[in-house]
Amino acid sequence: MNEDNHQPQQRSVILRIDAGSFSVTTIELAVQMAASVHSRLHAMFIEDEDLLHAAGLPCTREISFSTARERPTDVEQMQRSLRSMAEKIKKSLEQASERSQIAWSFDVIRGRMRDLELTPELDVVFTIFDQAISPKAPSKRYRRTRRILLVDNQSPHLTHALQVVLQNFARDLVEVLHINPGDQPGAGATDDLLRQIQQLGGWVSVIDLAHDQLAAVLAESDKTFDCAIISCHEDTDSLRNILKQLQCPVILVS
Amino acid sequence: MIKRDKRLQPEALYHSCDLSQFDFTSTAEIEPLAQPLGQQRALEAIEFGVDIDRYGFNLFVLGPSGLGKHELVKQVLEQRAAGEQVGSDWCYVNNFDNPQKPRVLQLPVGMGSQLRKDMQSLVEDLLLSLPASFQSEEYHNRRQEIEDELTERQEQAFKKLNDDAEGQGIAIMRTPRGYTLGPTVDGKLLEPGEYKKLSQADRERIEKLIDDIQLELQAIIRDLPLLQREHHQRLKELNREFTQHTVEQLMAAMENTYREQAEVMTYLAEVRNFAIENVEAFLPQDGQHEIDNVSKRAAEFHEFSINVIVDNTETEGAPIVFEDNPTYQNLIGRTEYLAQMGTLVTNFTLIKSGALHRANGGYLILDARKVLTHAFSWEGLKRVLKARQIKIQSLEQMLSLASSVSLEPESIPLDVKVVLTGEPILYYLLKAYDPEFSQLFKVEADFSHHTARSADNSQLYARMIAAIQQREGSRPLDKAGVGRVIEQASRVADDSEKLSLHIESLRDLLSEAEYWAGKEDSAVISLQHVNKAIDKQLYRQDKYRELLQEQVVRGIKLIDTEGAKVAQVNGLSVLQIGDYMFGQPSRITATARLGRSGVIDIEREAKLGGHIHSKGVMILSSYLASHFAANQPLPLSASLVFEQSYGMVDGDSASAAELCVLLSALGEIPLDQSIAVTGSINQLGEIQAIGGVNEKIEGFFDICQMRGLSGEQGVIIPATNQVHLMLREDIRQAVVDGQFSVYVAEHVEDVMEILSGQPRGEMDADGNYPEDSFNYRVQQRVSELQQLLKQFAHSDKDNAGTGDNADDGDP
Repeated sequence: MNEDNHQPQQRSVILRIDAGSFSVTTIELAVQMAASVHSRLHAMFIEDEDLLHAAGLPCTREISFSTARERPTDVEQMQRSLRSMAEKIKKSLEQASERSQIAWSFDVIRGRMRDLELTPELDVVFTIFDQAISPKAPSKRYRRTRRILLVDNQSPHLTHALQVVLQNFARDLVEVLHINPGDQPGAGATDDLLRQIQQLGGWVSVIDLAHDQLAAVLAESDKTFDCAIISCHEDTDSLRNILKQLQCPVILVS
Repeated sequence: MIKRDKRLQPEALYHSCDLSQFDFTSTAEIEPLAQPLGQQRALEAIEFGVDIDRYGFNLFVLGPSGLGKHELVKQVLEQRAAGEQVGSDWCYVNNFDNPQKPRVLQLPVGMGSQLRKDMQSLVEDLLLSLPASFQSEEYHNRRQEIEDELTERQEQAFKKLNDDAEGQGIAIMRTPRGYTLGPTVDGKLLEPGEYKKLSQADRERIEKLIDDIQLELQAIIRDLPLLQREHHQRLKELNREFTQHTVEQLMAAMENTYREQAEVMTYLAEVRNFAIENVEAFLPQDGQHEIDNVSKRAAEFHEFSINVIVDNTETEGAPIVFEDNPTYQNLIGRTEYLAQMGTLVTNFTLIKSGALHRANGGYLILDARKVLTHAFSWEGLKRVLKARQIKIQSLEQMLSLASSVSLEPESIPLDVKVVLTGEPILYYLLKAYDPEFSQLFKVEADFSHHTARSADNSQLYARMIAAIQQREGSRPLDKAGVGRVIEQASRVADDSEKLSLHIESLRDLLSEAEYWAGKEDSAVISLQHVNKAIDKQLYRQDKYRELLQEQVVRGIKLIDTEGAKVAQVNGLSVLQIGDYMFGQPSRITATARLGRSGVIDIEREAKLGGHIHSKGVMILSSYLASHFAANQPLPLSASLVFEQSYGMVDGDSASAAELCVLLSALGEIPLDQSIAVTGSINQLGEIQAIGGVNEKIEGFFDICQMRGLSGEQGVIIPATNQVHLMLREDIRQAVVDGQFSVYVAEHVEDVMEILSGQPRGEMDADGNYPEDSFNYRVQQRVSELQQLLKQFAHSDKDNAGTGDNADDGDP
């Protein structure tokens, strides 16, 4: 399937990617998410306005991530670079969608990631942000601990999202920081699922925390996450604050 | 009268076997002979060569093929090897420091295959245990700590810089290729227009800030590889700790098993280190949780394989190896290659042993001709024996024919006794032309072709027949059958007083006799079966003899068998096709006239005569001159030729006939054409023995018989050949019936008397022969020629005075 012949669908999954966060892993995750809820995937590459502005400044230069060498840059150079990245993302999306047989579309929009609307439209099931600075490749030989931040606010699709993420980390040990709605553990939408998974084997451990502990968790410097699943029932300011502090793919669940 | 004196009686033509000496009715009743007959000298030499433990005392067992050399050598070696210590097992193992130079291990018998199995088990255990070890809770936690620390240090560094920059109004942003820096006001990036409106001082301040932050950012990025390296190092140490523990646990039992073997212990220590350093190889492949099919994966670890090139587990006593295809590689060993992705690759598991490896500590039997005819085998064998170690070196590398990377396996110390078997010519050629041969093969075991046909040996021969029949599971022979086989052994030996020791011919004869006995469903092989076997053997080979005889009978090849003629005699020659020999008569003619050229051998002039034949002609010339022209020159131009001969003529067995025909030509003496002559002469006119006497007589007899025996026909042979006579029964019967004669001669004058029917005559005091003798006629003719020569000499002198040229050749 491709963007040209997909069938109109009621529900969709949105993937938002910008220049600083592209990873194939996140695209794969987004495709799996869409497949799990039988939705189409709409990917958006955000051409960051700030980058283009910065490229136009005489005092600005680009530092290579690989070599640390300084390179002069300008607006045209930056635009070429962003277009090239958009093409790369589209190709990755095409390949991943082909395997999963989902309908998809791809747009390039200019703006800023932080300014985008966080409240999704009615038909959007998941909104996925790729926020990893330097995404960690999954280790193929050694089991490692994957940390998932699960901000459970009783969204109906949280279970789906968690299932897909856990499936991705199936060969690792998984630690879920489960932020419960309100103060009472056991009131979240994913409680049943987490209990079931824990009963199957010891590879998933769950730490139940009250919602008011979320800020403290995010502030802890040693708490890095491999993925965050957040119910969009959070208020917008809270969401923006959470997103700002996370350096991992974030799934915003409607 | 002359003929009668020289005629042999029928009993002299054949040495029959005396059956009364045998006290058995069939060979089933006699004890089979365990030792070879008539090979005592060779046997002692082999026993000596095998027993002596000194450098270079290898054996060369020489004798024509078919004498049972190989069997005897094998028999002696088996007896000796059974009481000797079994050799070692030899293995090639990986050299972990330099895989191109595999190491060798010498192990007690049976330990090679045991070590191979143990190493296979070890690899399988490592494939199961190491992944389990790396999935343990403890390993997981410690690895997580290390990884978390790295992540934290990286992120902290970026976060701190980001916070500092933000505090100073500078934004750090990710671009597709790295980072970019830009000034902000209230958290928002300045646009180019806004930036232009800033004062010069502000712009300089911002640029300075960006420069400073850029330096810090570059420092962080540059430190990342160091952090990664440190992280990798710590992970490696962690892995080593866990691997070492697992590997040592698994190898403890093995090390205990092989603690007495220092070389193995060294190897196992290297295995341990290699496994620890290369633990990744034992962990599941990408995308797998566990190793599937451990045995299959284990096979991929060739570094841990044991290539047992010599396994003596099944060997009893010292090894005895017979390599019947002694190519260089089959002797010295080789390294094989595998084609991978279009290139040839190899490793120590592809090293293949040679016969020398397998025979190490024991005995190696080789056919000398095969060793010499296979390229580089002889040189390779000598090199190994001289160096006393086997170094596998491929021919391609030696000859620079291949440029692919090859192996240099460690050499293996060699302790082997090599037994070469071959024909005598090979032994003597090597002895003469290869100086290293005498250093390396000091013991000569010379097999006899024949043995004396004594009563004792006839008994032993009967036992040898019994042994062959028993070994082959064939019927026994009755007494008459044994007697006929013994007689045939004498015929094969071409000597009535000898027995051929050609075991292969004997075995063939017995097999064929067995076949014919089987056809008749007979319980024993009797005389008629042996006779039939002999006749059928001859018949199968007889086509060309028949064709040649047919040509004579049809008059195409001119041979007279009756009447008398001057300057023409029947000589006898032997033709050999393969291993079949038969005789045929040849007409020899001579011419004689005045001249100075002496006796011309036309065969030699036409380059159809061999050296020995030429020598014979020279000898007869010498006899002629000394006998009839002792005090005066012999003014003779004579020529000799084998009529209708179109191939090479060699040997001197016709020299007696040639002298007779020359005397006939000189003295114009008719010679009896019903008698053929064979025998060589010396300068004194004595007749000397020749070869193939039986075949020659039979050849002439067959022609005479086909034309009808007249009773006058016969053959003159040297008296010294009488002992060689083992003639066919039909000839013997013809002699008994007076239809054919065999005469013996000791001197050429005996031959002339028989052929001419004239006496030789005794020379008187004046040097003259009686007028009725053939010598007189020759002497007279020589005298005439001398007179003629004198006349021509005077005539030449006169002509010289008048200026005429003298003729240098014939007058």
